[in-house]
Amino acid sequence: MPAALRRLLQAVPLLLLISVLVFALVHAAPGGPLAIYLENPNVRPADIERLRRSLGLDQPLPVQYLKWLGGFVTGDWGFSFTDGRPVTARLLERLPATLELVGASLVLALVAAVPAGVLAAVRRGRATDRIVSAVTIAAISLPAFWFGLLLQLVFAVWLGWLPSSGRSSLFGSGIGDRLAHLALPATVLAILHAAAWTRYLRSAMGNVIAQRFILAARGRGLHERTVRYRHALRNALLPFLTVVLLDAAIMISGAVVTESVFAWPGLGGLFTEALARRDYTVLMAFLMISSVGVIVLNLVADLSYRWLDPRVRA
Amino acid sequence: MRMLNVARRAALLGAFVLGSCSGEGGGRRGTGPSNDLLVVGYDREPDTLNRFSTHILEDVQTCVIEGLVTNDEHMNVIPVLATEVPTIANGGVTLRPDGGMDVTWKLRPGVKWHDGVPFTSADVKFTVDAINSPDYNPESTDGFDRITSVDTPDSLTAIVHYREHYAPYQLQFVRGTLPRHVLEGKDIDRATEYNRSPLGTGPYRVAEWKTGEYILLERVPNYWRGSEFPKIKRIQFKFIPNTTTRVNQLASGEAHVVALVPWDKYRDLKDVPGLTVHRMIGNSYEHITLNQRQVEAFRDVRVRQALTHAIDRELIVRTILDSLAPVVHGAIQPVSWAFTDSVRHYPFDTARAKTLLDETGWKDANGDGIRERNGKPLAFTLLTQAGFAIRESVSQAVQRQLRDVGVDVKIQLVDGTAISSLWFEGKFDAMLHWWHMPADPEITLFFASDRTPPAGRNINYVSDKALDDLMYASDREIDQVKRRVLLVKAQQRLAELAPEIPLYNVTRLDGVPTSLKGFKGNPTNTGVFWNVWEWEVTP
Repeated sequence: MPAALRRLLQAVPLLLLISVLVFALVHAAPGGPLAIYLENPNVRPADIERLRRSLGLDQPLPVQYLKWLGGFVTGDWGFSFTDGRPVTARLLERLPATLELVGASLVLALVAAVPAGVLAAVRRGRATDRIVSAVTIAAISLPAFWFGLLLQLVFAVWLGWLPSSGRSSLFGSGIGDRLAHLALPATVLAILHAAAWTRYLRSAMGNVIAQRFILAARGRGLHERTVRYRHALRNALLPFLTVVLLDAAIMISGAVVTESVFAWPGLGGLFTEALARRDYTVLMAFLMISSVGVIVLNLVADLSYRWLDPRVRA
Repeated sequence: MRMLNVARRAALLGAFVLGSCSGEGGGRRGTGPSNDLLVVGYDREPDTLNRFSTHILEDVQTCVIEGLVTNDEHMNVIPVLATEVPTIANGGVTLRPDGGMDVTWKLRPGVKWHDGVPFTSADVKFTVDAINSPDYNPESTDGFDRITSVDTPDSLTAIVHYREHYAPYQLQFVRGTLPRHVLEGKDIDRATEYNRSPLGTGPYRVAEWKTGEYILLERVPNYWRGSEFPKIKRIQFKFIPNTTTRVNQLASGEAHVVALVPWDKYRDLKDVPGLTVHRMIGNSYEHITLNQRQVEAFRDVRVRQALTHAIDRELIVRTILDSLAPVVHGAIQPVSWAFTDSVRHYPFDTARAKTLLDETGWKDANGDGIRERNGKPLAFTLLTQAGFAIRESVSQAVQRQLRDVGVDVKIQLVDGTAISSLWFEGKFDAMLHWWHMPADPEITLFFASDRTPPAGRNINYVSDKALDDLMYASDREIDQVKRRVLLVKAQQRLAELAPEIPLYNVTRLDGVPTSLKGFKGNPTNTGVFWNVWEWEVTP
């Protein structure tokens, strides 16, 4: 697919620019990877200097950047400043948990958002619409942090139905145990996105319904169901899909708060830890992967247009 | 009709989500603590289990790797893998005429590493050599760099030669040793296998480390204290970074032990059935550092004393800390053998504070409520850690109380990592914080005039010849009785100088099961697991 290839090549200079920005930002944050050593009274200045040299932090920033870039493109992403293990290993071992959480949230959110959005659109201005609007506004306003802790309090501490955090029990290897651990974090993440998506779909579908071809379809005597789902919904799904895919990219890197609250062993937790420790190599790899993720999913969204909308194919 | 339909569908969906997940109904979810499994809610995932490389507390390591000595619940140094703690009196320490000293460690016979290889003096020598080698980057080389060599006349004797008198020598091997037969010739920084599952001599070994989730320890079969120890079969350290989540786990019974519960969570936990919140005076103290280099007003001792008089520390402790931590008056804490309370106190006395400030020429001439001198207001910024609820409250109380004597305080909240580099560069006016204090009462690092950053942690930038002489003399005095005399004088001098405002003791709150016997707690960085071998859950 040459179009896709062209778009991919266009992404290269963009990624280079992003890498410079991200590198500068990460290094501009006050404190560095050695700051954590300063708190320990047994660590003396000579120790700090020794560690600075051994981590290569004594070199000028442009040199550090070029070294990092050279390593990054050749697949050598360096070692974590935190535990001395390869960055790639640290990211890969965290990936499954994040994909599991994001996947489950995505499904839950879609299952809630699509019917709710459609319903609000076709019943625009009526009671159903107003209820959906009120609920989604409330859900969008929920801080993930607070909402997560509230769910813990209710379902783990008071009712004792669900585990408050973690991904699995020590000896509970069954699917039920996994789902029980997944329930609360996935619900928090799903509700926040479902609300936004519902509102988006409602307005996208509302725009389509207001158009003349819908009137024409109704005029031809088509069944209301056919009009709604084959004509209106299919057109409204196009922009909706873009939003969902871009959000999914952000969810993978942005489930930081949810993962921290629920001690979920995914990338978000690693990011929080790396940020607090100023673990430059892990931070750089994580931020670059997130950027690549957003660019790639953007591309997928564009290409899926061609598949869903015959007019773009022409 | 349609409305009903929607509502029903939504209800069904909700029921599905919950129904598919709920295992049991009502009540506490976790299984109770038992000699089969004890679950610890831990605030972070360790970076490495190598005790010399890590820079977080070594609770997991303490269960696996044993020191030649450890700190007990009263902060006494007690022998573990050594038969006794060497002193001058028992002949273990010899002061050489050339100014150096020799410390003879006698090792406990019959101790084996978990792989069956005997633990010997060669491991002690290897540890010193590895730490002093340029090929390995431990967190700190402090103390080790004063060692010139180690002799091993026999497999149970290690003679450590120091090039100078070094008073904290007793804690030199509190972190244990590195196994020579495993690590010799290896790149220790990258020895992932050892760093993730270290070989020790302790009651437990690492059974599983599930990244991001937990470390599971299991008892070793032939522990040297006797095969009846340890009593508890498995200990799981679950990584739960969020404090509220950790407390929730304790409340729901999913975690059994949480060390260092924040004071503002005490009320949530004190009535949880089956849980005891163990309270213990700690070895750190919260205080306000006054940076004399940055703020000219702080250079006058009367201003520093006035500020100390102006803060109602008893009120802060009673209201914000729920009276869980006592007010303190100096850097050495009541748990230390070197502690003295016969130092000058600065009781809450606004009249006295105002008089002192008037004497120094700081007066409110323009009637705006803030004192000034030569046209400059008496104002400073108080730096403290963001996201630490208690500190935020304390800083607001301090701000309010100092305002009452005409001092203008602005509060600046910064994240922990950024704070470290700010103080390291001396770029702050005043800071509300505590240090992790070493178990040895060496305070030179914090107050000697030549130990300002980067050479130390004297970020008050206090400079006093008499204090310097007392502290340095105490660091070189090996005899504990004589050393205490010097340290008492140093504490008294320190109180006169009032270089910082001590607020309260960092009192430890540890949540443990009521059924757990043998838990003693620990005020030092050694942590509460120092005697885990004798812990036992009794119904």
